[in-house]
Amino acid sequence: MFSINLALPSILLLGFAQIWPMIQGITYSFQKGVMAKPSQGWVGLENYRTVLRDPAFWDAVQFTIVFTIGGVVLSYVLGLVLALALVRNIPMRGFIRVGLILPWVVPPIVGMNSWRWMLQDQAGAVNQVITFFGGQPIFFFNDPDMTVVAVIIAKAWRSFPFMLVSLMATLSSLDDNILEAASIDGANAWKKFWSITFPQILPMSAILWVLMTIWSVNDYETPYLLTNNSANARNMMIYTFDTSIFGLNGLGVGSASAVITLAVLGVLAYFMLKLQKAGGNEG
Amino acid sequence: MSTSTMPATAAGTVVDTHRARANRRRVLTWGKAVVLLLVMLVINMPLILTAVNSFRPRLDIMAGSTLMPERVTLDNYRAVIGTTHYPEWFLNSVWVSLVATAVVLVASGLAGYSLSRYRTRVNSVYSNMLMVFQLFPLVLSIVGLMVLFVSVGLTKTFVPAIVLYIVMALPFCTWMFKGFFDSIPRELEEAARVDGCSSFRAMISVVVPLAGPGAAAVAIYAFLLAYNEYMVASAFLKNPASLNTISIGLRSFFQQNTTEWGQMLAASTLAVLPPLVLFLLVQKWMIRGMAAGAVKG
Repeated sequence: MFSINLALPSILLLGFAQIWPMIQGITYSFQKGVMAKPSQGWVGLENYRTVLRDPAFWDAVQFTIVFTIGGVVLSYVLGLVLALALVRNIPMRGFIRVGLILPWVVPPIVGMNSWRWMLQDQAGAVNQVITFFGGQPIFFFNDPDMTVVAVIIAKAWRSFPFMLVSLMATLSSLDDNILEAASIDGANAWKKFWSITFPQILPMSAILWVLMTIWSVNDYETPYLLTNNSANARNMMIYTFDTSIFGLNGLGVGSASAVITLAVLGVLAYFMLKLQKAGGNEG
Repeated sequence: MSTSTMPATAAGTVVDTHRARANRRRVLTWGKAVVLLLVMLVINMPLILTAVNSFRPRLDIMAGSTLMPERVTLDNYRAVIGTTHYPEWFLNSVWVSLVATAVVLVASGLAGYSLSRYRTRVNSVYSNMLMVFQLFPLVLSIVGLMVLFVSVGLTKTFVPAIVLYIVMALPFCTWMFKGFFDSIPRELEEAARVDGCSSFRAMISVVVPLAGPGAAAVAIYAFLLAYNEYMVASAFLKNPASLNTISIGLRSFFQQNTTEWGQMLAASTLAVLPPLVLFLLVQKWMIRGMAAGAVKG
């Protein structure tokens, strides 16, 4: 009994602020309603139909997919390359590692404002560098494609420290003997990575990919703050948030889109738990 | 090795070879360190440029960014502190974050202790649920809770945001605590039990004092999460303006047609300082907790 009593405050808090609103949200998705007057009658699947017919929802889905894949790939590659370099004992290793984690520590509002300022039209630092080398300035926030590129870069910037730290922990737990044996046999660095190191970090990498995918789908702040809620960078979270709070019959339609997102995330979370049971335990 | 062709005694050759190899290795590792240092600087360029340019006059900033400021001024800082509500935003952020942190510390400490010491069925279900909670879309909770808080008239207070910050931090903090408690041997409490302490007394008087550094890392994690957060703040702390936190306040520098870049850069630099200092204080513990969180679950 003592063990349950200890967890009771947490269980009550989570029940109140996570489980209860979730059940509420699911019931709202089958009703007509707005924030101030939530339940105005049952409408069956009407809200789901409205969401699935809304072109803005599909734009959000498309952006979410591109943003997620781009962000996960870029942050993983960056995190892995730096983890491989930092796992060896080099001078100033601790200092460099702490410095590389800073983008994860600073408030997103500050990080995204800084990027927004660097990517500004003419006066921005990035365009100054581009024009210095004779290139044409890129208008990141006017060109829809470049807006997506900018958001992906900013997302990778915020996320790679988590990849770096997790991969460094995994890499440092590996057995060096196999690598040494391979060096004596004359294997080069690339070959050693592909055939020895990568298979060993694959289970952990898979967990990180799924985890980062879920966090990217849930990420409201990066696209919203970087682009100042540009229509070219609206993901499913922003769609749900805006529709629920400001939309016509907003609560019902917004809740329906949230439930759809929840279903997608549920599938991902299921894989995540499977992967952790399968491979994460030895980590 | 080229040294092997040099005319020398056998012993000298071996020493030379070793020395040359050691030298080459040293140059190589230093080279790597310098490259990584440069990479670190490039990655942090947005933050570095923000801090450096916050000391430049407004007009110079508008004209373009150079790495080294040619004229230095504190005008932007004076404007931020004197003419904007920055001090108020800062105090609001600190207040909201401190209250959330205090609750998280107690709730996740107790739950983490339970998960570490008791392997009951409730605990294994609870542990899995924590994992799933961390993956839930926050928007769903925000919308559901907003309806509730509107109906009970709490929307114009700090309460909704604090509640959400608590549940956002709970899962991860519970795991961090579980990890720290796992590293404290059970025998200590068993000895206290033998001496006649209750389970609760044994936990309070034996384990809690030992959990110090772990608790500091958890507290700072929870504090930073609340201090840095934007979405919840935009739902609950935007109106009235007296509730604005730093995240909300910093967006007010973007006006309809112009942006006060000078003030924004200065305010951003000020806003970064507390998280930076707190993180540096407990970085070792926090990095360990971060890595464990993804693997263990």
